[in-house]
Amino acid sequence: MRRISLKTWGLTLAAATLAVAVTATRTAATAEPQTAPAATALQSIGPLAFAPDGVLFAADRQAATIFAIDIGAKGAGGAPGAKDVAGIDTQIASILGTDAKEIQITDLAVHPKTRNAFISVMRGTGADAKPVLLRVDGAGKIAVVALDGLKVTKAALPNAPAAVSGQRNPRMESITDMAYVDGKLVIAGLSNEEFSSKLRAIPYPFASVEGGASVEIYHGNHGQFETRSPVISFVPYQLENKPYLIAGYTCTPLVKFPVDSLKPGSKVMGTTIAELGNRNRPTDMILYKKGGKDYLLIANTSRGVMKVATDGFATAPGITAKVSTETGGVGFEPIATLKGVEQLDLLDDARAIVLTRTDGALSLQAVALP
Amino acid sequence: MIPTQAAASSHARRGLCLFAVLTLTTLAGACRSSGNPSAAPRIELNSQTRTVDVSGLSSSALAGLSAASWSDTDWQALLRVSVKSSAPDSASQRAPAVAGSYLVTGDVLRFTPMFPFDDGRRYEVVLDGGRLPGQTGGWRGTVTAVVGTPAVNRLPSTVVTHIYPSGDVVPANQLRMYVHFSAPMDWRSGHDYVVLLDDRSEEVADAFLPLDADFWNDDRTRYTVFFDPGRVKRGILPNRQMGRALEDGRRYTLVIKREWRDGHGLPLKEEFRHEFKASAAIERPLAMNDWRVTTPAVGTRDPIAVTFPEPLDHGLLRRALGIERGGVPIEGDIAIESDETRWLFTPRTPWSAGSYNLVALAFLEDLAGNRLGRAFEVDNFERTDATSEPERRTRAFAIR
Repeated sequence: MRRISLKTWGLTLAAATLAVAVTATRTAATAEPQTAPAATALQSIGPLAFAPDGVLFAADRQAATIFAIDIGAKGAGGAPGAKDVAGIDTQIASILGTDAKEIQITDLAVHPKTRNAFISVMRGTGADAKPVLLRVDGAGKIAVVALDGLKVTKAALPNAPAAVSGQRNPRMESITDMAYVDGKLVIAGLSNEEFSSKLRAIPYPFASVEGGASVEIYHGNHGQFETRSPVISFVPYQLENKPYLIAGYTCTPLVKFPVDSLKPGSKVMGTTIAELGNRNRPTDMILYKKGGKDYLLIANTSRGVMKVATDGFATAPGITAKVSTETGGVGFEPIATLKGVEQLDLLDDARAIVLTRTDGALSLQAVALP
Repeated sequence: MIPTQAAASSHARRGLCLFAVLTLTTLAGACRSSGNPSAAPRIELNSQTRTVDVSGLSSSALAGLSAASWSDTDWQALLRVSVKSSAPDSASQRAPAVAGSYLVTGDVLRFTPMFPFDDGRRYEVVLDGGRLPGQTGGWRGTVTAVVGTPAVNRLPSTVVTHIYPSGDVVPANQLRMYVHFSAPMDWRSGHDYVVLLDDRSEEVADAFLPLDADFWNDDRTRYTVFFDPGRVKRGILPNRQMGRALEDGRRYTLVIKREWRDGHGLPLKEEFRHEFKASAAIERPLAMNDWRVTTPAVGTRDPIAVTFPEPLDHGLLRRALGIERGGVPIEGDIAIESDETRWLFTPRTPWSAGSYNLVALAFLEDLAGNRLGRAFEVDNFERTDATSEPERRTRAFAIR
């Protein structure tokens, strides 16, 4: 539900080098290029993101590890694009030999070249749950993408810091989102102990994982700085020739970060450019171009899908005072025709692809960009 | 081999079909006409390999299959395995085929599913003899079988073992609670199974952060429940509209529903209830000088004890505090007592005389998310920006 892959279609993306704060107590992890079967190496599969060349990044939340998988020819099914599939959860469950209740779809991402849709799934719910990657092609054919034998590299996130040796928990973070930006993978992580989120930038090909930058934003509705609010999803975007991340937070402020401000050892100050309503969480975002203008499409938990014109992002002064109404800042347009959207990605220059739930059934649908 | 229930199509049926239910889950005998070249092959679920095995194929058919260079679609057209629907038969036939691999081994055509067949689930297997190679004059019919293994009969046994904070009083701006289980749980989010009731036994709506994020520890025996920070923080819209979920002076019950599934897919053995009272919110930062440090005697392995004026976060206490000497961490074991107000550190080797440091990493928090030198409630930008959060703080002590 919460992921953003690189959305390159018709947009100029952030191109500058990211720098991140390095926490002194964190240790760098080294990459492990390998050609061992990836399917057996992945313990779980969550957020997905594609690099423009088709390398697939898959987040293994259980192992707190990012896998970069060169899926090569397996990036293409029989037909380019992705066709609608009604009841796709039931269809996938059947292929995996089980019931729809026994699977969980964790992400959806479109291959940058073939435009086939890739779906990450956990088969099973207990200790024996297995990660699966599937591909839906332009004919609607669903196929399991076997990862065995593919070239895989990985980068493990640092262990959670500890003051006492032997007390480190290797897995304290849930990876909420990823995006590839000009040779680096930006990862948002959410702690399951301290109330904080981290942004990390990992150079790709992987060499090491650095500690995250602490992110601060001014939350207009909150009337104070939201110092530790979790980043749910984000997209890289270029504003006035400078790279930014546009991020969505738990209480749905929309925030812009100048990427250049992500310096080692410093706090990152984001600017809230819109309040999209309380008790509303962004689940996915895509950027697209229509009629010569750029737009941001945001899927939310309680307010459906919103369309936001980005032309005000660069000049938005930022919300620095309490917002007395539920929404504020840059305006948005609710898209009433899109209901129950759980996953969202850009399919091509005219369509988005969504996973929507209606009366309990999940469907894959290509929809015209609003 | 587990015999299967099989039904040869009428035009292909030769000899006698035997149906003998052997288990409680539909497993039964199969059609078989060994020795007759035109007899229907036999479909069985091999209990050792957990594969679907087809025997009774002609040697020419087996040779043709061994040499075949077929796509998945070709193989599935010959031998189609699908999840048996409880709906009419046609539903199973419309369901996509189960993914797996096909192999001729000895005199058997074997289908190995990509993932092991689920216990207790039924699978329909259809063999289309018309697609067999090298069957000139041989059997060309269709065999349909339903195979499966019995469901494992387990009784619910997983229970909630502890809720942190342990005390029966928490601040009204409590930020999170940890739910510990006796065994690994289902890996999915638990937010549907945690309910907060007030002192009238009415549910406190929207108390928790409804993120479908993975807040499990590494072995899924601890789940973190975050209160909605939008309601915890003063003055913000949800806080103004709904107030904090917890009100000073009132009693609450945290209910862990029995329906929460464990790692075997079973519900908890029983519902769990944890009662507590809310006290005044704590909105001040932590201060190490407020802690009482009780030092042990030199030459012993007695623990050093640090006592706090209020409970601190259980999860963070396990890794955010430590002891150093000369900048080198001392190895030892941690214990947390007295409702998370007391931290004990027992060294692996006896204490020697000298100066030590109690080290606190900056992310240590109390129950309300207040950190060392920094309260969870931060009022404005200037203060936030001006507060340079140290990575760690120390407090010196000596052992003599």
